[in-house]
Amino acid sequence: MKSGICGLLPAVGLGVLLAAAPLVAHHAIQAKFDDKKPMTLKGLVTKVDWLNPHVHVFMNVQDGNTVNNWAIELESPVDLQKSGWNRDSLKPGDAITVQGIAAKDGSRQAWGNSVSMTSGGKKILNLTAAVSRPRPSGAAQPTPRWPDGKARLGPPPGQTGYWASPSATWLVQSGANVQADANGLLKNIADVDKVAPFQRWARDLYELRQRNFLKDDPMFLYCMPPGGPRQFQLPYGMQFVEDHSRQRIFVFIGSGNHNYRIIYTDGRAQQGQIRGDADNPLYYGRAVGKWEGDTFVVDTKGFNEKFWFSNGGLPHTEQLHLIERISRPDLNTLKYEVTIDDPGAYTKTWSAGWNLQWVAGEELPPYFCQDNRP
Amino acid sequence: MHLKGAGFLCLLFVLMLAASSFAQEGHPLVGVWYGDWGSTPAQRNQITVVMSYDGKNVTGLVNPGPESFPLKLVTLDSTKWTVHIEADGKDAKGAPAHFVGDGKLENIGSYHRTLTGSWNYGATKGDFKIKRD
Repeated sequence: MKSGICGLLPAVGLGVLLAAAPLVAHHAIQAKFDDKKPMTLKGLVTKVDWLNPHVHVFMNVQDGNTVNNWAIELESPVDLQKSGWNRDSLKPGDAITVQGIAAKDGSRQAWGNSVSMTSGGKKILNLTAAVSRPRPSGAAQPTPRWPDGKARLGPPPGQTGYWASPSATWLVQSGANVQADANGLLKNIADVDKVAPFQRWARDLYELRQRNFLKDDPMFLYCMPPGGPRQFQLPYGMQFVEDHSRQRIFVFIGSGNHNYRIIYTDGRAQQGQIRGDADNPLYYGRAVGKWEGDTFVVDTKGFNEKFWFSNGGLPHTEQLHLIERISRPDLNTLKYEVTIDDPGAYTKTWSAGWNLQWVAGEELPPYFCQDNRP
Repeated sequence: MHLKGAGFLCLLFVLMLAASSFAQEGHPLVGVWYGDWGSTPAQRNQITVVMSYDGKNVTGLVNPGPESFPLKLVTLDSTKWTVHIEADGKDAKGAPAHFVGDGKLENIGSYHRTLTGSWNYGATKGDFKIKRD
């Protein structure tokens, strides 16, 4: 068997490969890997770590007279399973060919876009072939409702489901014409000033995070909770659990460490809690909600500053105050609008909004941010 | 039994320290900073600086406790990530002194970012380095 580092892929081929890569990565791949360093590795599998947030395959690669062990980082187990991979797809000793991109720091790590059996070329993982979730077809079905007429934010009685496939996965003020990838990484860094009405320090910090390819994202590095609108931007969706008897709504996220946010609906006052209180985890602030017609209006204050409240690295301060307006115009559509008031980081109040899609008959994906290898 | 209790409290304290060392992702100057200052590499003094931000101004306190004194002026130039600090404290002999410091923030994305620079009061000069806990 001929093994070794096989050099660079043709630039055109790489462009196609990366352009088609799935947009559900746990973090901006560019933060750790260099898309200008395509590589093909051939070698023998030594170990498969089937772990969240990312699967790693370790392989011995012969380079001249030396054998080096490489770590190949792949998508999460959830995404790999969608691509037809399972924990038994590879075993130690298998001869494989990996196409991907190299780590920026020069270490023996690569992001894998495809994995093939070297003998016969059978492709056992091809992330470019990942299938996106189809949109529901046919006439819109009516909004499911509780006996009191209020819209159900969770599944109809006796069913399961959750919300996913947000139409926007990062935050930009309404009306701004700005393009970014699914992680909120701007296509054009010159658009920074269009994203939000920043205070100067917040603008420069946002630009710094963008220029660093979001590598310091605490949700990626330390599995910090995605408070604020980021709850509604995540690739693995979210779920409302409405506890009518206790007059509160739990919001579960389909990723991170599966912690939850509580929205009180018992009419208690919004006090905010700059320093927090016993039942306020602060990453999600202290939220009170009420129905205004068919719209659930949530008022949240009391956030800490230990997390990023949106994909893309927008800064916030403890003065962050959110008004979220959530409605379900039909069975399959969740409309989410948020107004951001943070005089510590922004010069004025601003808004954004997007839709999420109902995933019927499924529970939240079993994706957990743990055992991370930043 | 007491030892076990003490051990538990120690563990709790360590865990609290670990938790408190998590990120401050808002204004980059906010937090508790530890480090040293001095006029020569051999002559160093420990320093603790606590800074907060009210949405307009950064305020702070040097060496919280009986010998503390407030920061009189703190400005951040985020285009260069440089910081200018002024404070009225006391020199080594206890005489009033107006300290002026200029430093540069580094490793801003890290929980443990640093502020390194120089200071002076009158003709006395030196350097400082503080790290956010």
